[in-house]
Amino acid sequence: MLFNSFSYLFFLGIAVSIIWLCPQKKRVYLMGMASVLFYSMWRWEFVFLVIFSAIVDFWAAGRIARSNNGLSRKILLGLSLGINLGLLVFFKYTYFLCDNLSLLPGLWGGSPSWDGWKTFHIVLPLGISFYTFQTISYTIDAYRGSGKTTDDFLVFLTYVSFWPQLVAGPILRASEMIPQLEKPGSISLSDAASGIQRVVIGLFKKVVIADNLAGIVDASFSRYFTHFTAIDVWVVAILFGFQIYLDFSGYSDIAIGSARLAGVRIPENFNWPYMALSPREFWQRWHISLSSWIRDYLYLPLTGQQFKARSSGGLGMAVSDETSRRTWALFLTWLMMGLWHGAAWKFAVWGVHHACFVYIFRRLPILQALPERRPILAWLITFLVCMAGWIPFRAESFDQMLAMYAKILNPFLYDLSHRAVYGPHYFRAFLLTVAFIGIHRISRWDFERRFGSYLPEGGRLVVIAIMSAAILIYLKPVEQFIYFQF
Amino acid sequence: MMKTLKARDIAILLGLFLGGGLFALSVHQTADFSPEDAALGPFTVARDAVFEGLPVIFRNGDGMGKAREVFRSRLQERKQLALWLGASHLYSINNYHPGEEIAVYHANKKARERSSPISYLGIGLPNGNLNEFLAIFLHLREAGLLPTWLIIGVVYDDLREPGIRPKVRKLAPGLDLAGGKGLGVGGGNLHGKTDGLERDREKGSAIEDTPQERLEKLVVGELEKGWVTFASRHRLSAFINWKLRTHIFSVGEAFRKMGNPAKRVPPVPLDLKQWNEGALDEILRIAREDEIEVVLYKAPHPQVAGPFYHIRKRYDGFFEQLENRCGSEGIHYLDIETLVPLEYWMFGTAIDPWHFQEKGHRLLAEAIDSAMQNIEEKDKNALQ
Repeated sequence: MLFNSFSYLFFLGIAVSIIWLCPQKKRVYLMGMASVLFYSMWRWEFVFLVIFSAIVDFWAAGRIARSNNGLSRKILLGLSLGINLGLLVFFKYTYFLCDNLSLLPGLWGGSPSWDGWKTFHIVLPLGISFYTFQTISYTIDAYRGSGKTTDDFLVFLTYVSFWPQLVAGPILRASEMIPQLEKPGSISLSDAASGIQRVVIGLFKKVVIADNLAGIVDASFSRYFTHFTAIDVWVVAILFGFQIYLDFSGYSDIAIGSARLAGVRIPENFNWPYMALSPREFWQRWHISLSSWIRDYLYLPLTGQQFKARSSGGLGMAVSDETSRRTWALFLTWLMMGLWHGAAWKFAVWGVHHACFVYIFRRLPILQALPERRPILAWLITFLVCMAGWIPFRAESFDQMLAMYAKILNPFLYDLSHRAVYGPHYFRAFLLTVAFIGIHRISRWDFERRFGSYLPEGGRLVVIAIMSAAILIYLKPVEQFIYFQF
Repeated sequence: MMKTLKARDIAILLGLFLGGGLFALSVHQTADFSPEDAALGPFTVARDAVFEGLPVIFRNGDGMGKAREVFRSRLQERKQLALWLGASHLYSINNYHPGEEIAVYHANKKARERSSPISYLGIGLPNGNLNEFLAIFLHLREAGLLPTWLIIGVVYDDLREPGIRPKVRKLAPGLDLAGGKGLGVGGGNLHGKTDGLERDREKGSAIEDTPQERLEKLVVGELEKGWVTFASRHRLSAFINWKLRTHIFSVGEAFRKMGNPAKRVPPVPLDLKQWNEGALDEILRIAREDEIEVVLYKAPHPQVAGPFYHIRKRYDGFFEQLENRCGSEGIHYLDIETLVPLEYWMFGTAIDPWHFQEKGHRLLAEAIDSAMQNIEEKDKNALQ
């Protein structure tokens, strides 16, 4: 089900009302039912895939937790990983693998022999990358003895399929969710108000700003890029940078708000990422639950470090440690992170782009010291590095990505007189950057100390009223959330 | 559930209700706003025209059933129907005053005054490309409605328009789009320029063919039935986008002055130009097959001092090629780029580069009908 729709608000209203009215102990079952209904509003047949994945990990993790036999624990873990990753690879990477394998004969002078795979029609199940990571973490945590397992399958199924985070995260750990599902707390009116506020903010980001940027970004990346100057490329990269941020953080806001309305608290997924002062810090602020997952289940094991067991902190918090000098782990981790986003080499390039800059910042003392000595310069460099990273992420093809990278690296193309992007788009990019910085500054003010309690709440009322009115005007399920494709 | 409410909670809940009120009030305040007029620019309005009791202009692919009726009725009157296809310049008047009429109306009037059997029927598509004109032409042909004349206004800038808008595509479902597949939605650049004024109406749904789509239709349908204001929200979104474009984002136009204004608009992409030229080939081929006389004209453009809005060389090159082709294939060609003087494009000190005042419409009608008269006379002489 798509969040940016009236049907979702209708669903949310009914689901939350029933959950509130229901006895606390039974609430988890209603949440589970609501989640299955939510998912079936996309394609009901794929509900069985979620349930199958949940059955495999519930069974494997339960057996692992009860077993003392090292070999059988390893076999069970391998089985769980094999099935989960097998499903993910089949649904998400079959085309990619076949496409690349079919090129292999060409390397030895032959011609691609078989392209029958192109006739397969594989539908990518919504949210498979997210719920697969969630179920995998449950089994691995059981193997490590660090996570909480449950004996109640319906609780586990609700953890895997909990509707606010099912299709695009945040990717949650069992230790964060299962206790809340097993012993739900009471829901206060304050929880409800906070939940509503987050849903309103999320919808505003998505339907009012991100969706209105989508048309401009789509047109820029699909057609005119051959005529772009270097500055044009920067402008469209910045526009996309804000579109994807507002789209995905908007989704996360709606997810967090919806969960809060159902009495569940889920951790933050974004923390003003474009205010980071280094690429490493960016990864403490962007898609925090994914980068924390990658940290605990890929990067730290590769570097031999002690894993953490929470979906916060991000990947950036780990890479500055002394033991993380194993450069290959850094590049491999970000390569995998890139490929997780999509089955295309351009996503791998996006990952490697970030790994390169994390590496450069780590190796050059002058850059290491920059956040403290010259914070504005550090911010500017990081901002541009992150925005340039969006070029491969959004490019329609590998060729387009190379052409756009080539433009920003060509000093002779920094020319305003030959620009091909409309002036108002330049202004939009500027306005979004300034607004982002401005809102970040304002969010750090201590309003109560400055203005007392009434004025800030009056301001909140006005902002919520304007946002709600704008949502009523623009809400229409025209644009998917960008991260749904992953 | 705890029943205590803090000031913060009250602000949130009250804000939600006030938002609903603000929405209703805003919709009410914009009751007279026309999104179509806004898309044309701040000084220009779209106009309908009725001649001898029948509409003579159809816009944006709407009302094609009525257009077919008018077509048939004119054929029954034994009139020679001149189908006139063009972009928004066909139906929009800059600096409009009540009682003013568009070019198609004036051309009909001129034809009657000289007792010509020609009857003009205009179909205007905002930012319409040649593939969309082909779709309209094929649609009428499929219905057995063959015009005697086909007049097409060629706007260079619209060669960049990708795809065919769904409304027009539905008119000619069998149309082979060839290179146009995946090129986007017709009028897309119009929507880009106007901040998606009607983009959401043209674009498909992200929940197509899912159970959610049925639920969404049900919920929105019920909301629209029970809350009249809600049904008008599209008008309000268009109004806000228009205001943002003309009052906020127009500041960005200042960037234009920072460079060479000769490249004020992005160049027309080659693949789209070729795709649209292919559509013109197809129109001319069918017209030849059906013995329809074709008149192509280079659409009027304001002659502003200083650099041109496009790369002049490419612009001239395209029309020179078109003129040569018309000459060799016996197609009538009119170069009326400079027909409308600059003052007829102006509203105060502002220039609308695409739409002229009623005086410009009269000049256009005069130019087209005179050309038609010349052709009629030449044909008569040839017969004698």
